[in-house]
Amino acid sequence: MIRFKTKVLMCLLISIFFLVGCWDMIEIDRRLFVGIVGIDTGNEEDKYTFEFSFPIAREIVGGEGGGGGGGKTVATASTVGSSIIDAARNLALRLNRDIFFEHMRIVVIGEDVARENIKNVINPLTRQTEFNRRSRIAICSGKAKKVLEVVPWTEKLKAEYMESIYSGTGFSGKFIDLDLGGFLSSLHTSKGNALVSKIKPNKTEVYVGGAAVIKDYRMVGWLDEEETQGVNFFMGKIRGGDIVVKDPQGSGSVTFTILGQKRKLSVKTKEPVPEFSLEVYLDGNIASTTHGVTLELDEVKRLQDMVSKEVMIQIAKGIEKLRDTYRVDLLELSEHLYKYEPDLWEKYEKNWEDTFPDVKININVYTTVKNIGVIR
Amino acid sequence: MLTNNDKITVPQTVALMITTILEIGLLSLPRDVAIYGNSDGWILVITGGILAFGGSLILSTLIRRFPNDTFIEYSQKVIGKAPAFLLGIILIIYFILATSIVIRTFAEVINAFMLQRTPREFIIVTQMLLTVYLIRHGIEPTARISEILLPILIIPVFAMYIIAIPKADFTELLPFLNTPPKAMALGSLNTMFSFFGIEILLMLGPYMRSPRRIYWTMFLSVAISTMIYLFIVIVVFVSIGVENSKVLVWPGMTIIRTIMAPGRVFERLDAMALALWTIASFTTANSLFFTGSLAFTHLTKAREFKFFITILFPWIYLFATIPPNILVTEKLVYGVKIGSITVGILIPLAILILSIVLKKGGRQHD
Repeated sequence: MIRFKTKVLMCLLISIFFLVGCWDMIEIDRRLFVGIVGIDTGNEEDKYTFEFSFPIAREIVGGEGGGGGGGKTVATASTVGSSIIDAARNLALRLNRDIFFEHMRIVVIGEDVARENIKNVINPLTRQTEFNRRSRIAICSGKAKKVLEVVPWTEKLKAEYMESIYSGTGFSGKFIDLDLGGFLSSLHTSKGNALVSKIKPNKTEVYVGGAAVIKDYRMVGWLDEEETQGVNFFMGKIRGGDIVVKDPQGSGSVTFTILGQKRKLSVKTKEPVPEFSLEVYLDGNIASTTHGVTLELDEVKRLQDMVSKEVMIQIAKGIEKLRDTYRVDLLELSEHLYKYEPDLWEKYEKNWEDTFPDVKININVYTTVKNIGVIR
Repeated sequence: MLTNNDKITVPQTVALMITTILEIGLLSLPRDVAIYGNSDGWILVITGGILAFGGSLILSTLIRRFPNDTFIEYSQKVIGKAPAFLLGIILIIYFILATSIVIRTFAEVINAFMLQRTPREFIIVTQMLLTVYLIRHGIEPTARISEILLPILIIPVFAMYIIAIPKADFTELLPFLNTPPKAMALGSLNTMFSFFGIEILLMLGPYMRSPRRIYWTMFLSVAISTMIYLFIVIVVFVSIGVENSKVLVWPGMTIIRTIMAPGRVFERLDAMALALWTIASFTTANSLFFTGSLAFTHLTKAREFKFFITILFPWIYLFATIPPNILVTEKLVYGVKIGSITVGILIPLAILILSIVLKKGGRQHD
């Protein structure tokens, strides 16, 4: 019996040895969770300035308790490095905690970095598993530093605030709802092209709207809000938002809120240049008209046509910018060809960059009004 | 269930086979099939499975012909003692290498995703000690553990990957049947390698309670493994796309991080995924290590196999720690896969043909 007890004791002792991943054990209060990562150009060649924002748990919790938060709830630190990983290691000389990227909320790339080249900056984001692939990504007009200086008035945590703006697809279609994984995916599939939301900082808030066009890993220009909405319509990604048209009956404007859309893309002619035909079916409500106007059936029909026309204009604007000005296929036409007409795609694959600007797209939009409110 | 007569039942055999086959493919198969077949990669899983089943038929037939012998014994009967001894040595070397790369791959994945600083040797030793503890008890506990762990492995895998379906883009499976047949053929061959683990059948013959039902047993094992692999490949393809799968080393694992149930109920399931992966890798290492020691035992006609487990331990550890990084490991993995075909199909095929020609061995009628 004694021997049995000794065995059990030995097993317990030895198992303590094995039960810890002790090399990788870091206490949670030794970790610093990065919320926002901002990337700007540095002063030297091949170096970037990285800014990180971290929530300070102490201040957030203390502030709730009552006592009027004395300190900032979010701290920022900035450093120069050749890559995100390099910068994080450089920060180790100043911060007494371990930087932890797995809860990263948003990556903001400054305009100058984007215009130069984003290839090297994003490589660690793919290579290392510690970066959260569900974090958002945006390109900032101007320096990314300004985004980190924003002190939002709706939330305590900056990163949380910025990330939740992206969940507003139910309210607006004027930005690109993309997370880091989707962004890296798009870059890989199209060898360097992507559409990224644009972010603009103010003192107490950020403005997410419009998009940056990335071609060959380099930013070539912006899309404004209407063009972005047009592109979203084209790709079937609209979940909400509104269209404003002039009221044909009165002297004001009519606001049409969007509920959802369906879209169908087909190839009409194949030679010598592919011609596509796009059909968009839009559903929505009439939310506001000029006061005193009553809506009859033909009025509603007319409004539907006007909304359709407005949407067509927006889509055409978006296509024009991408196809004619920037000459980059971010409308997923190449993917459509690859998936649905693979024989055709084989022909065009090599010279798609040259063929794409000559592509013709016919657009037809059909709007249906579902609700007009509770007055006539 | 607690009978200790050293024979395993049909369900236990099926469980043992499935858990042995399901291992690295869980994480890296989507990448292999994407490279060979693009959007038709999932078809390669099916064809690879069919090929694997075909290959397993050879060993199954041999078991039916020599119901109480392991490979070592019946190869001696067919080609004589000396050549068979040589074959036995080759077998042992193969199982040593196979076990070491299974454990090594396990350590690599853990290092990449979870414990970056923990030294690989430590992970390898811990895993091996657990394996040794289990297989010293013999074939029955090993098979029983597989039986228990099989549903624990499969059900959460299904549950986790199913959460990814609502956000899936099924158009990633297009274009359909657009890959040239030659690439498909090569791809099927490559996928068949991912079913390695079937070779444990070499030694399993006399330990099965119903060797006459071996065909049905193998069919079940390969079919279920194929279905699980197919499911994973399709979910990975529709979640992150074919091109992305080609770039990532372990796409099966990377998408676990992106899976999110609506309302953030389930987020960042890596911890659970890694636990499941540990189970899959553990069961595979078990089977291979055990079969290797068993081969050694039969070769030397010894009475105790536990001794040989200890003998093989340092060799497996050595080979598991030799490769300096993942790139070298991948080459070794490829070598072992070729070895599995040789040991699992080509050599038994030769023995089978010779045994038919030389009229050795009884024929079993249903």
